[in-house]
Amino acid sequence: MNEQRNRKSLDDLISRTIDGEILEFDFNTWKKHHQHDIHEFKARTQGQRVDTPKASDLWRTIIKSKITKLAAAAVVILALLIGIHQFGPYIDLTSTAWARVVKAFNEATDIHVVKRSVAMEGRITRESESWISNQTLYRAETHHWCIIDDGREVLTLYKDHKIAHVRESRGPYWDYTPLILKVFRDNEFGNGTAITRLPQEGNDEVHVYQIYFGDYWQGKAWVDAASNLPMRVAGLENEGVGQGKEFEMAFAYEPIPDERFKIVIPPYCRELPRIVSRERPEERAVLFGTVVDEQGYPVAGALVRASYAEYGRTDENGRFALAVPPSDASNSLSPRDFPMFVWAFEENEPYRVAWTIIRHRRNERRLLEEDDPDYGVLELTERGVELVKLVIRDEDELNQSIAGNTGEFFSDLHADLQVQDIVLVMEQGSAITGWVNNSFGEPIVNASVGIEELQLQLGGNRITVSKLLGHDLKGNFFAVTDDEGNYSLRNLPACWKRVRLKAVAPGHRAVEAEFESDGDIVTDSCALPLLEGVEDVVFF
Amino acid sequence: MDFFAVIFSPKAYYILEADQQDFQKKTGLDFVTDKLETELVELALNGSVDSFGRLCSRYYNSMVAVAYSVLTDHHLAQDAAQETFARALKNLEKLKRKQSFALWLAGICRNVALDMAKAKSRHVNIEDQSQLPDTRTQNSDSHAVRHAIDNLSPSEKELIVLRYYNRLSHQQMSAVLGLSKPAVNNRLIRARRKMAKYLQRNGFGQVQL
Repeated sequence: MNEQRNRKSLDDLISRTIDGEILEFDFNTWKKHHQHDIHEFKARTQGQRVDTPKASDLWRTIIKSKITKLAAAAVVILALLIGIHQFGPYIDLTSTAWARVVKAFNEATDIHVVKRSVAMEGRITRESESWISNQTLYRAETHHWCIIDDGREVLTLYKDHKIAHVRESRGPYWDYTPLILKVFRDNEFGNGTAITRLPQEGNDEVHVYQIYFGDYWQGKAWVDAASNLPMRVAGLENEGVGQGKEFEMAFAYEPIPDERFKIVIPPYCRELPRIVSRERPEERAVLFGTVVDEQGYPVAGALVRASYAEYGRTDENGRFALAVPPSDASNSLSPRDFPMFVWAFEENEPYRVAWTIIRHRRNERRLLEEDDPDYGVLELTERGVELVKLVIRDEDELNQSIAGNTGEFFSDLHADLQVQDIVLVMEQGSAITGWVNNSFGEPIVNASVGIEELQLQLGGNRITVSKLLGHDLKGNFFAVTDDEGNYSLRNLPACWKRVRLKAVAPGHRAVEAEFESDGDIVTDSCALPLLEGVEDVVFF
Repeated sequence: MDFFAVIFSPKAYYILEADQQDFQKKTGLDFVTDKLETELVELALNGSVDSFGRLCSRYYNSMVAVAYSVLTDHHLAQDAAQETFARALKNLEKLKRKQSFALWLAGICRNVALDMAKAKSRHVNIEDQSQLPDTRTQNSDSHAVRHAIDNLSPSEKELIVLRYYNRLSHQQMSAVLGLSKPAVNNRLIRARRKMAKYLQRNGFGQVQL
């Protein structure tokens, strides 16, 4: 914790000391100053020799002549034409053969893909399969989840949590197309995609292509020369610290029975309520979701909070929409706002809470060294202050232990980043009760006790959440002592491990104390002795 | 969600869009028209001055930072970056690996900056004004931090300047330094620790302001 704070302030110090400005490079001025170099360069690349000593005089003479001006105009027009041609969306023009591959892939009615990801040390980290039929039926499956779209509805099964979620269909399978399949489905990809054929590696039966898909992945595709259908893709994914990077995909085109796309909810699964509409109830809202109980029934009137969002209450269908307060110039979410802690509870149910952690793939990760007490991969919320800190040691375990459904990211070019379809499931929570007294052991009435920092332990992974209260005191992570000096902080996730409390009372010095959970639902040994003295001014 | 879950789930599509938006906001570059670097290098090698210009614009800020880490002078650093491009244009044929244009450019830039630093020390005997801390940030804190930076090894110093001088992303840094992103990260952490230690040892107290 301390070190993190140090780093932050060190960041500040360094930035202030060597703050440069972002500069715009003026190439035209540069060109003017380096005319001679450019002239030499052009001559060299065109295979000509330049008479260097006379170059500047000659240059002036050439520039002044009418023919040169006409020629220059022609060059400009030509350059423009070439420019338009070259700077448009980039499609590899040398590869008309690739266009045939795209066509063949899009015309194939049944496609079965098996994908295997291999970590750097050779361990298979994930195996997944997907089936596409008639361009509308889709199914994808991994060890942890399964998605089936029968063209009318989509069923998502979260196998680890035994949750089934049915929603309206997304229609054609395009929306699901994983990044890797994208190169086969259209030829209008931007993102710096380059595809080149490698004639020396292929033969008459199999063509080999080198594919570079922007920053996301690169690899090779083996395509059957007769049918133009891809048979195998192998490559490297660019993202992910210390995770599986290499992947291999095999394609088959045998007919797939419609049975595979039948939507059936397995008996052991709990079905979540269907989200009927995707309307935006509020203009500024960025987080949308539903709060349900263990049986899947919507919970109405529950209070929902999230880091950087205003609090909200669920409607009669258990739905909520949270807005982000305008804290800086932008009013929307960015990857730096994640991971985000979201929790919900009913005020009359002290031992129940629903919570989740929403993560964004683009949030910067830091790899910490072994001598660091937080050894592992670190993910932080970085919008001004640090709010949620994730220390990841086992990614798989973390995914399985995060409660609820973390929702889906939506963003089109006209709207800001949103997270939709978060499902918070009520579960057994925990509470901390205790008392506040002065140095003589007398109870202090009306002292306020708040959670400064909450640490959750999920297996080997750790989540630290601070600033839970925001600008208002809504939420039960804050309490006021009663006539006997007792307080009770309720609706904590059951997996809390450590908590830092701060007690403030008029006429007393504020005190902070840390407590560890002993695994009980109720921890009631948390006494906070306050010392009389100068009153602290506390702003919430 | 980790990347592998995302890549095979419906989320991938939307995250991609979000990424694009984010990328555009941060860099002001258009995803579609921002051509592949190797392709620009290829065009430049075939004589396209404009492609070379685009490459220069792309790395101008990085090169100014690289030069600044040697020269500690804003104006000289800009001159060095411009001179770097001139030398690069002269020697473009010598570029061996088209994929590592930035790395190659940074190498030239370091040499240019070192040459300039040498020339400066030869011609100027009295203490150069530019070596003094900037008047706008002149206080004891930045003085101490500057000392802490000077105390780092040249490569660590460059790393810190690249990161803080004009806020280069890890992606850009890894291109310029020819390191993987985690390696950049690790080295940054190490350099920052070293600085914190130095500051603490020199009476700065806990680095906590």
